[in-house]
Amino acid sequence: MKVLVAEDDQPLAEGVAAVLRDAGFSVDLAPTGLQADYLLRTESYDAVVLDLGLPGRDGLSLLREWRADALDVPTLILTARARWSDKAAGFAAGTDDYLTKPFEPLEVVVRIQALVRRSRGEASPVIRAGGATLDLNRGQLQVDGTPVTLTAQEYKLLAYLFLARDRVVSRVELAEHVYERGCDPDSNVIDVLIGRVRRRVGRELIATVRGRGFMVSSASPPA
Amino acid sequence: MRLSIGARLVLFATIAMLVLLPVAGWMIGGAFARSVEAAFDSRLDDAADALAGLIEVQPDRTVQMNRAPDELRFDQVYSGWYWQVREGDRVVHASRSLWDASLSYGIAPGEPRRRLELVGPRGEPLRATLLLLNLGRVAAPVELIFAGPRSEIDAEVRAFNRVLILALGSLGAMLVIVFALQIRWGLAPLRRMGRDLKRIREGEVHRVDPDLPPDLASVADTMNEVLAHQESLIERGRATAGNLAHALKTPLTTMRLRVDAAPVDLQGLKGDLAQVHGIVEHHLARAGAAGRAGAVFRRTDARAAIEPVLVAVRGLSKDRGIVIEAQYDGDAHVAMDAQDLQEVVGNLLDNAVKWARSKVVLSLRTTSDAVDVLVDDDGHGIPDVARAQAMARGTQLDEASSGSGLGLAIVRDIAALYRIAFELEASPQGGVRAHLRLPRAASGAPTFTISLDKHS
Repeated sequence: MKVLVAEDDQPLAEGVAAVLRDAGFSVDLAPTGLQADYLLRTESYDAVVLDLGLPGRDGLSLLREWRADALDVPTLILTARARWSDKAAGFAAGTDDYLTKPFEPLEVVVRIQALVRRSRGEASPVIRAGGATLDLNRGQLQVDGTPVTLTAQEYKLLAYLFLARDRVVSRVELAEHVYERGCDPDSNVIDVLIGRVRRRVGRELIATVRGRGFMVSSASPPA
Repeated sequence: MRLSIGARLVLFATIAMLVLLPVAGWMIGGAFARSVEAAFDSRLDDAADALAGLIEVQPDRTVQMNRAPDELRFDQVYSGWYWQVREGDRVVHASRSLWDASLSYGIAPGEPRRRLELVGPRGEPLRATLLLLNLGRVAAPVELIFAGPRSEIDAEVRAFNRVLILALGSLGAMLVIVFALQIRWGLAPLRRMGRDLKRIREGEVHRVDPDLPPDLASVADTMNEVLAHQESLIERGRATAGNLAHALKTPLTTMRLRVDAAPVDLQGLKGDLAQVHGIVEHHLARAGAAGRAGAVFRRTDARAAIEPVLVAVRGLSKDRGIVIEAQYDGDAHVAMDAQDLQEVVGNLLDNAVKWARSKVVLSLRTTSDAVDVLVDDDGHGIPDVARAQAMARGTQLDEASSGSGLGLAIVRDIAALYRIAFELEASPQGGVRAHLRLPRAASGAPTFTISLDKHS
C-alpha cells in the first residue's frame, strides 16, 4: 500500500512517513502543492495525507480539483485549523477524514489503515483468503493458524494482493503500489518477490494468471 | 461621476423648471394672443356694422353710402385700415386708404359674417370682418369688408410675451435658488453626521452625536453600535492574548522544571503539553467567536449552516458506527454568526457521539422568538451533580472519554458571549440532552428605516 504525504513541514513529514513505513506502508513525500498534484496524477496511491497549508496551492482547492477530476483516492486532511467551520469545509471539499495538529503520530496510521480498508469495502481489518488470515491493523499473517513472518516488502505485496483479492493484479500495478517512487524496480523484481512469498506461505495462495498477473482467491485452495 | 443628494435634487428641480415654465409660458401666451385677437375682432365687427348702417339701396337699384366714415385712418393712404363694398364682382365703394388697390379674397357660400385673413395693398397681413348684406331690392348679396393690420395684434402679443418670459424666467430662477437653500438646510443634519464621522476617524470623538432628526437618529444609533462592537472586539482580542500568555506561564514553568530534573519525567511532560494545547485551543476559540455584537448584524440560515457540520461529524465518527439523525421543524434564521453556530453545533454533536451508544438526534425547534437546538444521545447519561459540574467547568466530564475536553467549554463560552441559555438535561433517549436557545433573526426586515412622513 502506498501513501502520499503532502506536508511542507519537513520534520513533521518525515515523522509521519516513518510511522507509516513502520506500519507497512510505502510513502512518497510532497512538500509543495504543485508536487502533490503532480504525484497524485502520475502515480498510484492508496491514500493521501494532505496538509492544508501547503506552499503554492491551497490544500482545499487542490482536493476539490481532484474530486472534480474523479480522483477519489482516500484522503486524510492534516491541519491546525480546528474550528468546526473548517472541518465542515474540509468534508465539503471531499475529504474522507480530518485530523488536527497537534496529534498523536500513531493516530495517522490508524486512520489511514481505516481509510484504505473502507475504500476497499472491507468492514473488518482481518481478511481471510485461501486458508490464510491477514490482520491489516497488526500487520500479522497466519497460515492455517500458524503465524508467518514476512519482510516489509513481502508484507506490502501480500497485503495489496489480499485487499485486491479475487481480482487479477498486473506486475505493473503491484510495482506501483509496493515500491516508493524513485525505486525503479526491474521487471522481474516482482516475480522474485512473489517467489519468496510463496516459499513462506505456500504456492497455492497466490495464483499466476498467465500473461496477466497474479491473484489471491478468497476460496480455499483445493486440498 | 456620482452626484451628491443635494446636487441631484437641485438638478431635478432645474430640469423640471426648464420643462414646466416654457409649457406654462406657451399656454399663457396663447391665451393672451387669443384674447387680443378677440378684442381686435370685436372692433372690426363694430366698425363693419357701423358701415353697414350707412349703406342704402337707391330707387335705381344702386348701392349708395349716405356718408363716408370720417376717420383719419381711412384717409391715410395704405394705412392698413381699409373698407370696401362690393356688389357682385364690382367694387362700388372703398376707403380712401385703399387708394387704387382693392382687397381680393375668395369666399364660399356660408355665414353672413365671417373672419378673413388677407393681404393688403402693401403686402401687409390684414385681419378682416366680412359681411354679406341682403338688401332686398338688390339680387346678389352685397359684400362689405372691414380690415385692419395684423401687426397691431402681433405687436401687443410680442410685448406681452417679452414680459412673460422675463417674469417666468425670474420666477424659475428664484424657485431654484430657494429650493437649493431649502436642500442645504434640509441636509444639514447629514453634513453634521459626516463631520462627526470625520472626527471619529481622526480620533477626536468615539461616537456619532445622536442629536439628529428621527430618520437619521436610527442610522446614527446603528453606526454607534458598530463602533462599540469594534471596540469590544479589540478589547476582547487584547484581553484574550493577555489571558492566554498568563495561563501558559504555569505549565511552561512546570515543563522547564521537569526538563531540568533527572531523570526526565516524560509522562509528566506529555501531560503538560496536553495542558498547553488545551489552553491554546480554549483561548483561540474564544478569540475566534464573533460574539453578541455579531448577533446584531448577522442572519444565518440555521439549516444551511448545520448541514455541512453534520457531514463532517458523520465523516469523523464513521468507525464508531453511531447514527446521527437531524430533525428540523421548518426554515429558521438565527441572529448569530454562521461560524459560531457551526462551532457550537459541531462541539455538541462531537460530544454526544462520544457518549452515545448507537444514536444521536439533533433537533431544531422554532418558536416565535427563538430557535431551540437540542442534541440528544442514548448513552448512559450523567448524574445531576456531575452535569452541574460540567456546566461550571466543562473539562472534567470530557476527560473521562477521549479528546481534550474542550468541547463543552467552548459551547459554554460562545453561549456566554451571545448571552443565550445553554443547559444540560436528562435526555428522553436515555443519555444527555444539550439544550441551546438561539435568538431568532428578524424576518428579513431592515434594521432601520428612513421615514419621510411626520409620524415616524
